[in-house]
Amino acid sequence: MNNWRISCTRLRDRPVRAAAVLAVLTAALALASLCLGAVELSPAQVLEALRQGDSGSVAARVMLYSRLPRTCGSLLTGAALAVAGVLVQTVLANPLAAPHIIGVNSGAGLGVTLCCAVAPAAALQPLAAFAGAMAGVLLVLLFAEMTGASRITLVLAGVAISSIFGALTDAVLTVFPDALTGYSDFRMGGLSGITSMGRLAPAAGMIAVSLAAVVALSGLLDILALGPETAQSLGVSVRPVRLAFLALAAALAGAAVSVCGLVGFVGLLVPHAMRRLVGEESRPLVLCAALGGASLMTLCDLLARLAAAPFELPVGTVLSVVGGPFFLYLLIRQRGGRTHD
Amino acid sequence: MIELCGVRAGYHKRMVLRGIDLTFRPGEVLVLVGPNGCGKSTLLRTALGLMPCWGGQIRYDGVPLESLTPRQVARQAAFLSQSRMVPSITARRMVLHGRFPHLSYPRHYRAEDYRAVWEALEEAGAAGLADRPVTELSGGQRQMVYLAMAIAQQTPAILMDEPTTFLDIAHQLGVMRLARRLAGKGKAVVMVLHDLPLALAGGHRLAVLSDGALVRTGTPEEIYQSGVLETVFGVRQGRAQTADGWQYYCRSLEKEDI
Repeated sequence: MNNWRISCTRLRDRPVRAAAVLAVLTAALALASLCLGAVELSPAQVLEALRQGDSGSVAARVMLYSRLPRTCGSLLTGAALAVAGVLVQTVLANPLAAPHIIGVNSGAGLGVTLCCAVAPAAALQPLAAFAGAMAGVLLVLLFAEMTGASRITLVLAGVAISSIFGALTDAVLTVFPDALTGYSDFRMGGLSGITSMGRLAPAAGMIAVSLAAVVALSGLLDILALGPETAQSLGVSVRPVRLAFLALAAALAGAAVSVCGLVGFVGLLVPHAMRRLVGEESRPLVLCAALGGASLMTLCDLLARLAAAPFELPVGTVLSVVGGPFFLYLLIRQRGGRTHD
Repeated sequence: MIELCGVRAGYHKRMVLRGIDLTFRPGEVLVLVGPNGCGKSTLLRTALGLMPCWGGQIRYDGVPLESLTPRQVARQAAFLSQSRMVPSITARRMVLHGRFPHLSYPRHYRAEDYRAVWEALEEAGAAGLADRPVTELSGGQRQMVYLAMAIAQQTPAILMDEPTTFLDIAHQLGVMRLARRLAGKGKAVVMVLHDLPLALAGGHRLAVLSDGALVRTGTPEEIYQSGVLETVFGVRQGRAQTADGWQYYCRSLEKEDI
């Protein structure tokens, strides 16, 4: 029994170390995001602006109406999209699945567009995004259950569902061309529209509650990862549990899309990278995915602001440029990972 | 004890099981044999409530299955599924999942859970694999880890769907020995096997299925003497006396075949 406990402690070390490194990285990137930009601020100025609030100085205004909401936005949306990716991949037992691939993000996009066209209230947008994302989730789940679809078929179905939602979004924008006026780069993803903490608050609340629920239910996620039949034989009511996790994925992805637009790659890349780093035990995986997603999104937003200054690139473009080669590298190096026996 | 009385079940509108009467008894290795698609796996899954029972009744120690929750069923019967995911976790963590039906929220493992896991790993001969990632194990080693997870569930019955498929002969025999040991401890062990000689040599009782119906049940000797395997599988059976008992074999009915 002593040997057991010693080896358990040793096995827990790696996720703890990984989480600590990622937490430091995330904090460093957040600080860089607060300091760097068209107006450069020192860490001391940042702290001073945070402490004093809206004192009227340039530094304080830059901080409160641009850098702080934008940095918080990148951290929250990155974490939300990455954890949504973990949930979708685990529940559908499909490493190719990700919120933007199976139509969750585009469903959320349609929800936001409809909301902006019909009832343009910022507080409603995360809810509308959740409704759209949930519609995407339910369509994919229905398709998977009715047809027993293979992994590739499920992904292709997701592409079709994304395409349908994209077409509907276009149709809404044709009728209401000014619906997304407040959103720059909605389709490619961007964070420049986040100009106040109030704008971020509804989505932040939804993301915080959903993340807490995912952590609280992570034990069930572990069992679900063994496959539906094994999970059920261990006493899990698979169907309602799957639906609950997909609803949480929809809430996370929907809330993120309502803030940053149709950013995709985070939900695919980060879960893969974190599985390689810490394995598939749910609680450390969710924690590290949240930190990894927050880091990646913040890094890409920083690059989007600085790479072609004074112009700003859409963050979705930077994500693809940075994440694409990294993802290909992971695929080339992958030897084992999740397999089906 | 799990009793199946006139059980009917199937997929979509196609009936697969046509009124099965069978009992899974404690202290016995029951082997289900039959041609592909005859309903062996469907029988196990229906008995566990993993798919709906269209007719008849399934009772766990006299209690109807439909009145039990999934968690209550999981405390009565463990299942080694044919279709298994291999997550990137250690074997020990995997076997710990077998304790899931015994934990209540927030699912903190207790000393007795760790003890049950360690005993299960030793029973399955997988103690040496405890700290290795499951993804890095061979097919036979993974099978032993999955078996350890089922043992850690500490249920009166263990149902295994083709546990020897893809295993080399040494691992196949290891699985059969383990099944006999578990039965010796009073568990009801039910296995689906395709290897008839292995089933005849390792089972206490055989149930022969064909086209969704139970054709015959009996001891290996009774099944062999009845010739039902020749009828159902279309093969010629034989056996030879050795120092360790009967060795069974099957041959093709066609002369030109192997």
